[in-house]
Amino acid sequence: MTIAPNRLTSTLLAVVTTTGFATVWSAEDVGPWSADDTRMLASALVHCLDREYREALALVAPLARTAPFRKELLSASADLPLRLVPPGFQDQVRPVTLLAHALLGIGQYSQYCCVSSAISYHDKGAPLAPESVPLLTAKRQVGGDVRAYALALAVNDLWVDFDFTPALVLREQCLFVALAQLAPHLGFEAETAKGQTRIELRRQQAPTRLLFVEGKKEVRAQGVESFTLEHAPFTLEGVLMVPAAEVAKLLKGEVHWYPEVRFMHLIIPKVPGKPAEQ
Amino acid sequence: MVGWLVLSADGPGLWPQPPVDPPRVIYTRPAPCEDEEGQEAQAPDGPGPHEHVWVDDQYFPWFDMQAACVNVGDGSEAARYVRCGDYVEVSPGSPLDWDICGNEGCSFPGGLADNAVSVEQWDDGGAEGQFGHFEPTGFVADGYITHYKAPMQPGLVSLQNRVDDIHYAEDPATGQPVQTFDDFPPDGVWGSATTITVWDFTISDGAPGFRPVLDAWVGPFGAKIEPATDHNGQSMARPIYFELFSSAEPGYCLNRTREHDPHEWNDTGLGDTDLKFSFPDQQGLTVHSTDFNGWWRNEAWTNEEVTTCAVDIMCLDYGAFGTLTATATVIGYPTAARLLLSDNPRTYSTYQVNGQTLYREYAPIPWDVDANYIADVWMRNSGNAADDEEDEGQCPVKGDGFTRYEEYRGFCVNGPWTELDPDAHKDVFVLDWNGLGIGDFAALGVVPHRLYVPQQPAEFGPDYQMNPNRGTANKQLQHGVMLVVWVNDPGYLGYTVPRLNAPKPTSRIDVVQIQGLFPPPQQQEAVGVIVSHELGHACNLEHHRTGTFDCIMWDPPTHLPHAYCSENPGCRMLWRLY
Repeated sequence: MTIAPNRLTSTLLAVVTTTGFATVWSAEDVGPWSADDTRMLASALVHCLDREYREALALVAPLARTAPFRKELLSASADLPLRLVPPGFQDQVRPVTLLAHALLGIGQYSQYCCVSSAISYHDKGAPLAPESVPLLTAKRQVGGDVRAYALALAVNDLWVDFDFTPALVLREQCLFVALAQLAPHLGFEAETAKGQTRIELRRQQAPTRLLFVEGKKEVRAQGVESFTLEHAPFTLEGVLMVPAAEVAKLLKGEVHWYPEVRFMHLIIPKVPGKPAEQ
Repeated sequence: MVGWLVLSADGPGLWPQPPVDPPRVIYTRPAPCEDEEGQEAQAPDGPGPHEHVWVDDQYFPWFDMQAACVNVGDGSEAARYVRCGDYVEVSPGSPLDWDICGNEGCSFPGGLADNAVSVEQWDDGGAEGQFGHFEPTGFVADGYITHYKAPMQPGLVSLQNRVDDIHYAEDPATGQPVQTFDDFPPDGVWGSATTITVWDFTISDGAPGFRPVLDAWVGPFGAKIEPATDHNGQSMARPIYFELFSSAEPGYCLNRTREHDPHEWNDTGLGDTDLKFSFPDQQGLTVHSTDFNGWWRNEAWTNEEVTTCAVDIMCLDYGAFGTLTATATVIGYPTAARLLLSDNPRTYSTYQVNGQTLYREYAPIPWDVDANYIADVWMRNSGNAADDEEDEGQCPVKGDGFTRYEEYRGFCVNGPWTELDPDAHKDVFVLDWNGLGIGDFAALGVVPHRLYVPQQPAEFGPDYQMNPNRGTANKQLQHGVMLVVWVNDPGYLGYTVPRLNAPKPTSRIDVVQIQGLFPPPQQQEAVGVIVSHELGHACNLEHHRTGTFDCIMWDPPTHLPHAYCSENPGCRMLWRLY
């Protein structure tokens, strides 16, 4: 579902809930991986199978943050108890899969959709379809009380950390996100030498620079024409918040908004990864 | 013409006299065959050619016709032991008959004419043997007698023959045959008996109606040497040696075995034979099972000379097959026992080779006349061991990967053993590790066998092989489908990789996602549908998004169908198990 980049369903309210995640963005499977990580992943899987989702979440969240799509081959006996899987059984498991499963288990349906859509984009190159199982599931579970659930934002195959405060805010029917959190996943480095009220984004590809200033709708750009936002950035708790959909539009991206579950997926084309991610 | 002249009413009375006719003297002229037609014989009425006056032999018993003992074989003592149904040469010995001419000047030297003697009858005292001779086509129980076929009932048999004189002899003076004295009685005399031992060494059928079953006793198989004593009154008892030739399939059925550490005699591991003599030794027997280059050789022998001995066999495999032989040196050389089906009427098991009837010299375990390793009594013993012919409509591949012999040998399913039906529907094993059930999978047309006891992983082999103990008449490795609760990627309520054409076919079911998608009243039903859908994939079905909507293989099956479609595309006819 592609929607207007800056309009949210009028019934939605800006209620943000957070989980216990650290305040960093998720990354591709590039981070260091140790035997302990494998054990953590296996333990998280066992907790998932035992329906102990919060325990699973606590274990898998760090792994999903550093190497969400890393495939780890887990085997019966060595990694998993035989009460759960038969001897000889083995399968590849990704942290992101367990993360989605745990979020579903604890009833964080918008975040579940957010991670599911990131997985979908990673695996299939497209966000969740309207009739996809995660969306149907979330809609059935959420029912009409969507305000009780957290906002969620995915960018390509990653997502805004659910634990960042303030990560996402609905204001004037527009979803605002902390620019410093969004920038790395647009391929920019954020320069905040003058504080959070004025942030300059830099990268190698055009536009090579973008300057966001609190209260100003104009975004000064280098390499492209300057851009005017419909909603001016503002600071919240000392953090510069920008309209997510408008920034995506600035970068010629797609915006997919799922109002029933209060989840937005930004598809930003040709976002170069950080060197370490390549 | 021949005339009779009574010489005397009383004989010399030197020998016991039977009530006989009066002594006779026969006058002879040239043989009747020389008579000219129409010429009547006349009594002698003066000097002329010598007339033979043959004296009745009863007054001269030493000239009487005498039969001889029957000669058997080469006349040796060994030749007097004849196995039931075997042939032995017989001859009448040397019967003789001299007739004496009472007239002086007889042309026969000393007046004695040597008569030929013919054997008129052979007799074995009602033993039901047969006298006859061999022709190119075989033994003919008639005509010229050269051989005796021993009866099928062992025992002591007295052979006799009855001889009669041929009362003609060639007159030395004329060179013409002349009639001599026709010895009494007119139908000849019996010689004294030659007693032989008609013996046999048999083993009884201990497996009539037997179908191999684990830990079942088969038998008894009774070996017997008959008669107990020979014609000399000597015992026929001999040491008897049994040897058991057995299959050695791994395990005791396709998917279970029993092994101990240390090894026990009734283990069913690789190399253990499926049929064994029991341990400890059976009474009166020494049992010896030898690991013979990795294979067990089962022997047993009697501790003493015996005429009878019975052994029991333990069956250690549901697909066991083998033979039991018994050997004894009854007469000079080792002899295999013949399989005796019945004592009364005495019935042997025979078979034909190139038109020749041969005795079966082993006891089959079980009976398997069609030699397909399957007991003849099995109701589905109607084809070859390696058949895998089950067909389901237009399914592209016949069979289910298990051969007729394998389905006969059977499987353990949640403990108890069961055999399958190789002629009906295709069998599929589902290893339901987490107790999900198999939903509507049977609606596909398969016969699902659900292994739902995780505590019994021994019921499948590595890579979920269902015939890890395959051996005889195996066609291929056939796997079961592992059904396991798993954490799938979002949107995948289940997924199945690999399928039933590769090791470890596995259907992973994400129950949490299913329960998230469906309201509680439908959740159990939904799990069943998703399981059925994934098991369809395991059977190499693809899901479809066109055609028949009310099909389990519709993608996604969120409307909870309970049947596989018969058309468009017709999932019921498209699946295959390997």
